[in-house]
Amino acid sequence: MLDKIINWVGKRAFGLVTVLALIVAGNVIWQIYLHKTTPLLAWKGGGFGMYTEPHAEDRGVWLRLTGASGAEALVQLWPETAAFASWRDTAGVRGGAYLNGLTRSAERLRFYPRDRVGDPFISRLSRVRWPQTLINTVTPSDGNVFAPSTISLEVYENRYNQTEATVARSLVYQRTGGETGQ
Amino acid sequence: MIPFRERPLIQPVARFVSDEHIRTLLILFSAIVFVFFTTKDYIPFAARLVVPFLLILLMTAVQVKQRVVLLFCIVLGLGLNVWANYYVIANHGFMITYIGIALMIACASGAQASSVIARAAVLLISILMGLALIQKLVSPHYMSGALVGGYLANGYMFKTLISLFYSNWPEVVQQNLMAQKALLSLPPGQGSGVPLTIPPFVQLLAIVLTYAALFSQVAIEACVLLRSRMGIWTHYAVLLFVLIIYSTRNENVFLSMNLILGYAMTDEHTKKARLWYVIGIAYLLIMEMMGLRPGIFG
Repeated sequence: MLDKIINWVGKRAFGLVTVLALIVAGNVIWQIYLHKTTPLLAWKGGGFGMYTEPHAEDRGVWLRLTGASGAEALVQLWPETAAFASWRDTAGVRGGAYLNGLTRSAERLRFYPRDRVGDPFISRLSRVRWPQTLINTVTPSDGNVFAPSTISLEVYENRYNQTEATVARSLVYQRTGGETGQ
Repeated sequence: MIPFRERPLIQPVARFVSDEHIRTLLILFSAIVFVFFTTKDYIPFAARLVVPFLLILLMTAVQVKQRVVLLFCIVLGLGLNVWANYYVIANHGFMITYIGIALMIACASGAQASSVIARAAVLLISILMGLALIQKLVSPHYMSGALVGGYLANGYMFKTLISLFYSNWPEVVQQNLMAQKALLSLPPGQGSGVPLTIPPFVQLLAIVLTYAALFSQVAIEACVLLRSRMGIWTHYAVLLFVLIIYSTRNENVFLSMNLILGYAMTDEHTKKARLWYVIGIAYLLIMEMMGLRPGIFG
């Protein structure tokens, strides 16, 4: 059986590498399309647009939490801050692992921020009891935690402007919990 | 004087890599996959544990069936990694998977393996370089010189070289980096931009390098498409292209994949270039494993 398959592949080798090339081209074109129409980074995902656009290290992830009184707290999820790291380190084994998971998710979100990833992430963020060191005096909407509808994920990107020799920061993705999915 | 490839230490290697096209490709592929699997932190632990053993078996396998089955197992590992991290994995994760599939098909073809892999390499290089070139042309960020300008401003490119002409450059680069880091960490709404310190000659250099990179990519694409007329010069152009990219950014594993495709493209008339590809791949992989980079590139 195995010999037959190998013979079949061997006899059609030139045709199969052409098919492979077509698959490669199709995949790259699909990734280019996604990069042009969504916040997918050109550096990732096989689109081979690296060395054209800013890298993931130029992106930051923020959390906007709206409290019961309408006041807002802004928490930087990526790059991780010293305050967040200190909280995670004192949160115990399970709590620390949970918070570490949130940091890793924020890191991954930078590559391709989209609702399919953002919504479950917001759901996980809505189970967190945020410390005063991060949300100051903002009171959570649901007693100890923030309801998904009061949580917004925001991804910002630094982009260099060659003519003006400046770096501008802009919002590339925003998602609030409970919004209708795309 | 004895020619380089005829020297006692070099001659056995030169002869092997020049005459044993497929065996050398399997060794080079194994070396690249090994470095890729052991240096990238997103590769699952189980894959890191199993794949090196499969690579040893692949390098020593002599039968077509053994090679195809082992390549299938390795490609499966590479493919699952791509599948699980489709939007997160770097482009070289895709590229090494494509190379693995092409090598598996080539090995299945037995005596025709060299011709099959050469054709696959030409198709892969021309498609990937061609589409990467189109991405540059349709990117306003790249075409304005901002990508290269940003790299220069942050010291990612030619930091040491620029310091030879502008002694304060390391301090300026540090200030630029700190300003951008501070901007990224500033609460949204409290700041939307920062000015950087860029001397006029660095701005001009960014534009020159932007277009030089574009033209060199066009030249490589042309060389690959006209390889039958260009002969050995196609391979020297590929080697030069890799050297140019290497001088700009630490992309050792990705560049070694470009070199293995160059090696795969060689035939009886151009096998003189094979030794240089092997030396290039060995150098890049050693540098990656040791975390080293020549100081002059910064």
